[in-house]
Amino acid sequence: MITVIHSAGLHGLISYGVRVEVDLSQGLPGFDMVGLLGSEVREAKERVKVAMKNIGMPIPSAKITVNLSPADIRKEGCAYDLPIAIGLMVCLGKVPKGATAETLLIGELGLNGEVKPVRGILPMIRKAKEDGIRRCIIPKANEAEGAVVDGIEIYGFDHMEAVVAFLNGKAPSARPISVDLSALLRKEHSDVDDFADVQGQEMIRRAAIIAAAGFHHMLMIGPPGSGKTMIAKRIPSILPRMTPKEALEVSSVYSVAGLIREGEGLITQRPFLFPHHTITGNALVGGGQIPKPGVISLAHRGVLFLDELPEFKRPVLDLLRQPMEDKQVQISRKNGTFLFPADTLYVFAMNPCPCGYYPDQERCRCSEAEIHRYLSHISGPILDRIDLMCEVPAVTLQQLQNNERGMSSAQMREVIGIARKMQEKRFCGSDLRFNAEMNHAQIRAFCQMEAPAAKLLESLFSSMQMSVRAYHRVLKVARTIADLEASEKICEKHITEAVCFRNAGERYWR
Amino acid sequence: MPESGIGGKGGELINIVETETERAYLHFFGGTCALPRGAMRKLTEGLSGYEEAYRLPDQELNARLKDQQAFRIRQCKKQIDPLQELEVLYAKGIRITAPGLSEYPEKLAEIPDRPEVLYYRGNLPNADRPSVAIIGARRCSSYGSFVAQEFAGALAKENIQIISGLALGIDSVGQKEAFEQGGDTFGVLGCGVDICYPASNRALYRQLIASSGGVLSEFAPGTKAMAANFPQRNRIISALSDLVLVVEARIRSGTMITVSMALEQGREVMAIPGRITDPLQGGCLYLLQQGAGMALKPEDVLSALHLQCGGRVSVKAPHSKQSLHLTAEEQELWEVLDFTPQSPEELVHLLQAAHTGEPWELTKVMYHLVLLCGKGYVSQRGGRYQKLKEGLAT
Repeated sequence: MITVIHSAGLHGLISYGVRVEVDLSQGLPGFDMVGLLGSEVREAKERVKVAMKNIGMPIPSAKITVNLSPADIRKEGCAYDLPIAIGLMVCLGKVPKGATAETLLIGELGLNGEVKPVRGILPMIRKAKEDGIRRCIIPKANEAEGAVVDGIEIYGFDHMEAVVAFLNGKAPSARPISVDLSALLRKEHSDVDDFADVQGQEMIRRAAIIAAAGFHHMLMIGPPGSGKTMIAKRIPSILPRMTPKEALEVSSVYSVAGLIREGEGLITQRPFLFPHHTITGNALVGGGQIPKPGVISLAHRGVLFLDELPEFKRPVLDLLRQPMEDKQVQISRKNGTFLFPADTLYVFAMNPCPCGYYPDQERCRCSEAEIHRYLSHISGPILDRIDLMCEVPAVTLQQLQNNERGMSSAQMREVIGIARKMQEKRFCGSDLRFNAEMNHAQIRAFCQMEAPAAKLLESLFSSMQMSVRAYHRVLKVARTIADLEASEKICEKHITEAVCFRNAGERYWR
Repeated sequence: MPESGIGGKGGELINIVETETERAYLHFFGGTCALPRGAMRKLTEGLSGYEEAYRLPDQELNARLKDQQAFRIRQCKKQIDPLQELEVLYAKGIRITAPGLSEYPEKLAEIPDRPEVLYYRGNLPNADRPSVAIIGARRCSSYGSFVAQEFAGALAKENIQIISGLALGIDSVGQKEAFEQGGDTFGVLGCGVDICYPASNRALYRQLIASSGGVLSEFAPGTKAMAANFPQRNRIISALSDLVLVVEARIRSGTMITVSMALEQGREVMAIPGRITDPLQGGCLYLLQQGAGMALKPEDVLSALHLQCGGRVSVKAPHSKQSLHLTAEEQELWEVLDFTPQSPEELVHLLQAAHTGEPWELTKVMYHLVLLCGKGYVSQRGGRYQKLKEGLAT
């Protein structure tokens, strides 16, 4: 007698439906599992056997065959324990046959029958909904995460006995879980640092506003203790709130990485990641035999802050070239190509020289060659992809003692809101959300300059020997600056400000 | 004991037979075997030249030199043909000379620790024409490079040879301007003449070789630039010049080593004054306090050299006000700009303190700064801006 249970597998961030086919028949007793299985999937056999015995439903001696279809995709993970066990119970008549129709089952089993959480619930359930599944039975620990998807019934259980009871219709109190998505997204995050704590540093505050408004990558150069880290940590506080679509994207990445905390369904706060400079290439962009998302994907729709940029190994930094441009990472392995999103706001910080005090003639004792060697850790192509550069001056005692607080995050968000509205209006109906994402054709269409501004940029292009890429970057930043003033056209002062921010790095690398 | 070689034309070295073979052996001892100055002198004591030294029996060689040096010479003799080596040298465009040979600069021959061998590409300074060393900090300010340019250009136009070290900063700025004004300028290197150090001065290095100026060094071709070589090189810079002009230098710096050597050699030293708060001016101000000549305009240097301008070129003092074309707003900004770089943020604070009228915003300051950069009045250094020239609005 054959039973088919619906379950799901993961390929990178993409989920696919898996049919768990269980057959129990007369013959030489044995338990065979087929369907291109990873070793942890094959071990399910032992977990299922013992768990069923321990809840008082031992498997009789019979020939048992389990096939996970499609049989040509390699299966990984422990999510198939529960569907296999329930499939067997259907075969044994402990669960009525019709009860598992249009039902997705996911869960790892403990030897005592406990249902344990698995990773990747969110993309699996989103896929199940597309495939016309009506209800999902998932581990209790994952239920908040699953409930984020609406239009599908989610039931969370922490023990296999409860699942069996539910499928037998003996759990009248079980109700599908649901959450209010928009309420989740509206939640204020009180634990975020506020920009009001930053004193002075008007230039860098301005750069942060532009970066947040248009999603432009930025680089801060300054001596130790000038507040680079402090500023970077506050950038998420001024970014616009995540839309439901963005929140789902981010949560999917975290779900696959197994980083969603129990009881926390949706990632509603823009991520802020802060890896140490000893990070490896695989950890940064993602990797492993079965690729997992790297730090840049975990910072998707959020901020990735790389402090002490020249201390990163150059080959590691150079891995960022393609994701910075394409906003996704493609990792190819023998069992397929994996795509992870990486639409990340890169915030870089660095000292200007090994001792940190250049160009302060009094304090810096580095030779020209040392400074050059230090700066050359950052390759031209990476520099070329940074729209905003600024020098962070050391904070003076006067500024510290001055108790005047700077503009708060809420005030900055208000200014940024103006630019956000302009961009929403402009990109209405397209996939674009931020100015930084415009391609050449879109730049031509949307970056309309006033005549004097166009003339000015033309003269700056030749006098400053800009590259074509630099030209486009200046235009995109100028667009954001104009948006901050709700100006439809780009004027001269928008161009000059963009040029100002672009050129601040020139002294160091030319 | 024969007299030491002081005095150039005097002493035993006048006997050197000026032939290509002599140069070949000179290169053999001074370049291939890399004997130090003292050893070179001891080796040729009482001899007609290096060719004779080459033919000295081993015993005599051991008596004149340290064991290690004598051993090195014997090793080299076995492996290398001096005449062939000279061919290789010439093929690279490198010339060689020594005290006593006709093209060896007279001024250099005067000093007690003169180089016993001198390599050069291009030409050597002309003894009949005055020469001035323009030296200063590698990491100079824009004020320094502006002054170095003004002086080097004006002096070069007066047919004065500019000597310097081809280093970053003041050295190369001055030499570049002198070259561009059509003057002769000579770079004294702390490495072999076939090596361009720093590599970023490649263009200037090539220009000097191709021009009527040149590069020279006492170090054998192929010698890497080592820190210890530079004070050695500095004594040649001062020795070759009639006057040493210090543009910008810290109290403890290579430039000040050159100055102390210049004073030992009896050369005139002049310095350019600056602000007392600027660490880069420390050296200059110290020299002025000690009685060095104060150079306020290129004529000051000329009169120190007892030269007249000759009316051919009008030498303008660099601080004379030029007329700049500034708008009223730019003028306000110009007044708070300085020769030391300032960030737009600092400028906003200065402007707010200075003007009670319409408040200056960051955006407005950045707008005018970029326009002034475009006009060439202001330069950007990182995120900061500084004046490039002094002037008055018209």
